[in-house]
Amino acid sequence: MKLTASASIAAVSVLAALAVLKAESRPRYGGTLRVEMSAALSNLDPAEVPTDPAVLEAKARLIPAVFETLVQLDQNGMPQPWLATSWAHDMVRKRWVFSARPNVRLHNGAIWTPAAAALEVADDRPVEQILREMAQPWNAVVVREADGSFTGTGPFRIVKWETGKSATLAAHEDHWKGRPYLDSVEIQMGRDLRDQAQDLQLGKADVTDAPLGTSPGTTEAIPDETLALVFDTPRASPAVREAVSLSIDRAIIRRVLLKGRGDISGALLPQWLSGYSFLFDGKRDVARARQLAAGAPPLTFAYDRQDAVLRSIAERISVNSMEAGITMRPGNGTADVRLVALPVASRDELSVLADMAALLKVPYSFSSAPYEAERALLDGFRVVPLFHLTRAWSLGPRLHNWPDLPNVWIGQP
Amino acid sequence: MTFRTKLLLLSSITVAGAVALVTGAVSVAARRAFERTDGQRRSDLLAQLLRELDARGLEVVRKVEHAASSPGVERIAVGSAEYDQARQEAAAHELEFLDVVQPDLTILSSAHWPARFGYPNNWEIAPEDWLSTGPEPGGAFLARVPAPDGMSVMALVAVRPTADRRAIVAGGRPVNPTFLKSLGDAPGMRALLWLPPTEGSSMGQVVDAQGGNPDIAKLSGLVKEARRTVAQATGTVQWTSARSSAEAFLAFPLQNHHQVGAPVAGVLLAGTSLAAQLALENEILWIGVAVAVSGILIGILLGWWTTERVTRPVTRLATGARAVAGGDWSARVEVLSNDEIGELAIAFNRMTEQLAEQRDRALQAERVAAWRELARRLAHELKNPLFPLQITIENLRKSRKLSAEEFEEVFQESTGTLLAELGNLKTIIGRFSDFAKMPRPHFESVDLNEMVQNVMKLYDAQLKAEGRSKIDPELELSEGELRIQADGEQLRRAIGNLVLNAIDAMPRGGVLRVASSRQDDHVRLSVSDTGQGLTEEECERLFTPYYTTKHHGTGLGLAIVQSVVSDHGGKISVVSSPGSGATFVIELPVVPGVST
Amino acid sequence: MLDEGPAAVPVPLFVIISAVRRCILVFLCAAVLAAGDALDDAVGQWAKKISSHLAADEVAHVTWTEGAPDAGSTAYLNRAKTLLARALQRRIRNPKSVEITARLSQNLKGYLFIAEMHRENESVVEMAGVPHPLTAPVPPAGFRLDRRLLWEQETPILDVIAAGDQMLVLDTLGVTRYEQRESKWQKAEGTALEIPPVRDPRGRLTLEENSVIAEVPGLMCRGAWKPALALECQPGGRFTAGRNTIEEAGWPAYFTHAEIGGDHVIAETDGRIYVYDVARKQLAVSSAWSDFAVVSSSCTGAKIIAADSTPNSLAIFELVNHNPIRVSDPNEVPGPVTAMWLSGSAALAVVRNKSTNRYEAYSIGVDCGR
Repeated sequence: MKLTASASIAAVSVLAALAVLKAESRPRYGGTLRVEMSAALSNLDPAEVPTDPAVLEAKARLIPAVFETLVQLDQNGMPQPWLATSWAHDMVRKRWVFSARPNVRLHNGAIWTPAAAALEVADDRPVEQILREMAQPWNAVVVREADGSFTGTGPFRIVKWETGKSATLAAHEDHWKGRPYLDSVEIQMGRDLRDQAQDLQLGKADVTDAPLGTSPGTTEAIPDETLALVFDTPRASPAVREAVSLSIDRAIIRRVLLKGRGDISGALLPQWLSGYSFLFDGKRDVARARQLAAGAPPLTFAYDRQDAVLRSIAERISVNSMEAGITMRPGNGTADVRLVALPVASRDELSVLADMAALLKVPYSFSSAPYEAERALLDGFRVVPLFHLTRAWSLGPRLHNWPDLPNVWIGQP
Repeated sequence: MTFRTKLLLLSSITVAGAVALVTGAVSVAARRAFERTDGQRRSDLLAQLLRELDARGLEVVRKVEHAASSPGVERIAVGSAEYDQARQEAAAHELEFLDVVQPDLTILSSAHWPARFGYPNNWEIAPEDWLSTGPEPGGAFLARVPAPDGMSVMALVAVRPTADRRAIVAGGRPVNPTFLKSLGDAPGMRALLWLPPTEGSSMGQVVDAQGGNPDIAKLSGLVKEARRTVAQATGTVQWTSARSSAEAFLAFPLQNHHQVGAPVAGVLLAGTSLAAQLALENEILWIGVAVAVSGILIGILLGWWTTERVTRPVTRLATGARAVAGGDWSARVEVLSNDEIGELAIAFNRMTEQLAEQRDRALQAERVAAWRELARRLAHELKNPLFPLQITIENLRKSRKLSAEEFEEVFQESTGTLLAELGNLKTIIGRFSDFAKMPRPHFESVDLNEMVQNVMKLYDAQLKAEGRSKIDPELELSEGELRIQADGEQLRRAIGNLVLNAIDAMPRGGVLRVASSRQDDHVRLSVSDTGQGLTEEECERLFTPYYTTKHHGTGLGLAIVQSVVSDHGGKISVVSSPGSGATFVIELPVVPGVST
Repeated sequence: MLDEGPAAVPVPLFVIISAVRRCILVFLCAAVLAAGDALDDAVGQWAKKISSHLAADEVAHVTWTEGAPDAGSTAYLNRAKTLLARALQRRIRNPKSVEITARLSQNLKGYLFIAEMHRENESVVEMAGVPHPLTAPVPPAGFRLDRRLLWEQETPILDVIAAGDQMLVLDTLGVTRYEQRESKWQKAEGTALEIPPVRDPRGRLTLEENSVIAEVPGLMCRGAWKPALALECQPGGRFTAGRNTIEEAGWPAYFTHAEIGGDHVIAETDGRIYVYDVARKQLAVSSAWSDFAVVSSSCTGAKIIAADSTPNSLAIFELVNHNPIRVSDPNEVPGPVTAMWLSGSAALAVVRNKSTNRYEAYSIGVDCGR
């Protein structure tokens, strides 16, 4: 834990660029990035927040390329000016007012001139929370036209969008930070993992999803995904949920199924983000689990079956639960238990917890202390965190600075 | 029932009976043959299944041995392989199930349930089979293998240690319909495998090589028998209410170890459908029926023809006899053949001739007798008036000597007497004459009831005559008219005669009853008196002409009645006994000529 | 050892380096001292939170687990232990002891002190956080490159020219002139340039007597810098507008172009090095660097100083048979090289420090003796 933590901390400083640096070379302008993903997005509208974790993570990654926020969190999780250059507290009207950056061009060529209402936020909560919220991709600046279309200020503009299938983004020449390196980005959505792997092998794609727990290439990878069980229906009592949690043999799963990757944890936030994840332990006690599970009803289990590693973990969890006397079988429709991969998509603990709570459909109230907030979320064993893993992509050989899309560039082989 | 009908019936019964017997015999023979053949086929199939099962067992053992010595499994045993390596090894060695376990039975890798690594193996394998210390070490055996979906599958399993004894390999193939089908297949036959119940079911499970879903309950009896005796058992199972769904089975219990007391791991059943046999029996039956029916028909036709040849002469004989009985003494029967029938005809004819001669002779004698009687009667009758005649004439002669006046007186008296007696004589002769020349009846439609009433009116006065005891007339006539074809005059006279006779028979009074009724095609008229009655002998002689019981009378009255009745085609009879009166009954046909 | 040249670094800055395992503890004391105040506050607050859960007759018995999360924080930890013990001290007769497990952890924002109080029915947790102190950069192992820090700032540096006691710095905001006063560079004046925003900006200063030319992508600004900075800009210049390439007649767009031994060495946009002869005939191709400078020194001939294949390091190369060959060990720099120009007889390298995100301009030459 110690070594991993320090390595994680150290590597965090690379978070912003997240570059896989090869022979140092200047970034090359030009080229088309070909991205493939399993998630299928219906649109890139920041106002629509998906409920599926995989779709949410993909959308959160793509939105900043097209739509920008007033404020952005830096690598330390500190809010920095972005589309807003500064903010001031209007004590009279009890509002926080953001100053818009001048000379920002929208994709349609017009200068961004926001209405005053778009730059004001009520001061009913602490400013740190307001700023973290403003930095979320869902609060990106979107200019909506009368005909229903919308434009943004980001380094790329949407040229083509086929719902759930494919999209093409083109460089926004007049971006206020300068034209992005890439000419365009072509995205294929809803693609099978096997097809993605094949396309990557054949050189038909530059970035693809990779199965769970696959390391992306650098040895010092930051865990930015929490694998957890969430109980969606009240069929399982808190005692049964605790029994399931106590029956899971995390060490073996990590050693054998994840091949030693990832960290075992009973916490939602990884150690590098919270610093206290060791306080939530995921210990195993089969005898106690059997006691708690007396009379447990059979439960249906759902997981993303496409991912072979996820499936093997889910099967192993079923076997573990069977040892405690709880039957978990794959089911269709609304399942009692879900195995989900929750993205750690922000540098701020409270934002991450809020996002996770939304994905888990668990009520969450803002608390200034992350520890208390996390304790509240984990109370009653409604959520059972298992591992912290690295969100993996498989990257083509010429790629640099992924996943920071505005600064990604492709070298020539 | 006519002779013909009897004959036809008999021939039909004979034919039907014979055919039924033959059909039954053929049916039984066919069934026996079927059973023999099917039984042999079942035995053969069972033997083949068992042979193949053994062969598959050896094959599984071989595959498990290969797997146990393969480098992939070695890697699993030392722990340097992926947790699901067993899956690839199983595919490579063509085994559906492959578990590599440590000596303490902890799973190192499982092919069909990879997630169970690290857990103890849960196949239903006895400890001695793991360690190959059982009575038949190293052989393949049946064992239940739990599956991830919660069900368990019966499999043919073998166990082998790896070369370095670091691990044990258990592998096998599921016993499913495909497997069973591969053991042996014969057209028209079925192989089933009954497996003991698992936790979920209470009845066990049946694997059908054809992939069907047989009703376990129907097999339970046979299976129970095989398990109980641990030996071959036979039985028939009817799957549905249709008889053709029946199947005959030969059941064989499978034990993992051939030792006393070893549990039965399953029961192998080889079955043949009885549908063909039943169909054949049915066919035989229908053919039998068809043959019987056609036999009967032919029998009928043949019988018809035969009886024609037999009964026609007989009928002719009967017709002839009837004709003779009806009075046609000249009726003869044709002699058409030389056989018994012909002889019968000849005899009949001879008999008829003789009868005719005898009748003629009798008739002759009777006629002679009747003549003699009539002559006697005539003589008698005539004698009476003649005597006074003689006397009178003698008187007259004598009286000639008398004075004219005295002569005149005597003359007048004598002539008067003479005339009276001549009149008497005339009457008598008239009566005889009437009797002699009874005219032929002239038929017309008359109302008998009306006629009776008229006759009664006519004699009403006599009934109530003074100086005579009263006679009460009673009329019990049928309702309405009673029309017959008759000669009214003659009939009236006949009725009158009867009434007179009845009156005469009741000198001290009584009841005179006249009744009429209609019966089918004839009418019945009865005249009853309450006189002194008649004896039996008198009844017999009553209708003889000149027979009379009366002190006076010619005795022709009843003879006339009888003649009239006879001319009308009817008959007359008398019922009487001394002291209880007499009843004369006339039966007349409605239409003369048609009489019963 | 960090070699501080004539131009002293303005304010000592301490930075945590990613490869902490190899770090030398020398500068930690300084770091701790600098961050001492923050630590005191944090531990004090932490002790207050812990005390709030103690009854009047209870005293805390603290057991520290796990040691320091990284080598650099041991002194930190020791100091925190002392502070906590002092803050939780109580004088009570027959006190009841409450077991507390304490530990120093760290997260993205800094260090985190965590205390768990174990009671029979409950377990209470109290935390306090301290942002990371800045520690000194790891001095690289000795290299034969002679590296001197000229200047460092937050805004990306495009070019630096030092002339006597004057220094001109071209960055993405404009040109600033510094004068050396009291052994420190002090800003004299600056002029902002309307540089169109571009990713991976580049720029070049060319100094003549009193005039200066500043070239940035799409713009060429001329003017005087003595006595005062006055520049006028027009579209033009060697840099392609909106791009990071240089256009020169007769050559394809490139990142860097230098001549060595009669060969033209060009770093082209495909990331490869092309060597052409005088007649512009291609002689060799290799995949190497996109920024390099050709320097000569008294003891060696012309050498190429460029970024090595090892990330964040520079090395000396020579062209042998028209092919570049590394002739020195790689020497680490604090981050990626964002600019490399020939500056006088040495090379100017601008490095973006990974830890601090600040841009450092170094003068790099070949060290003859070492």
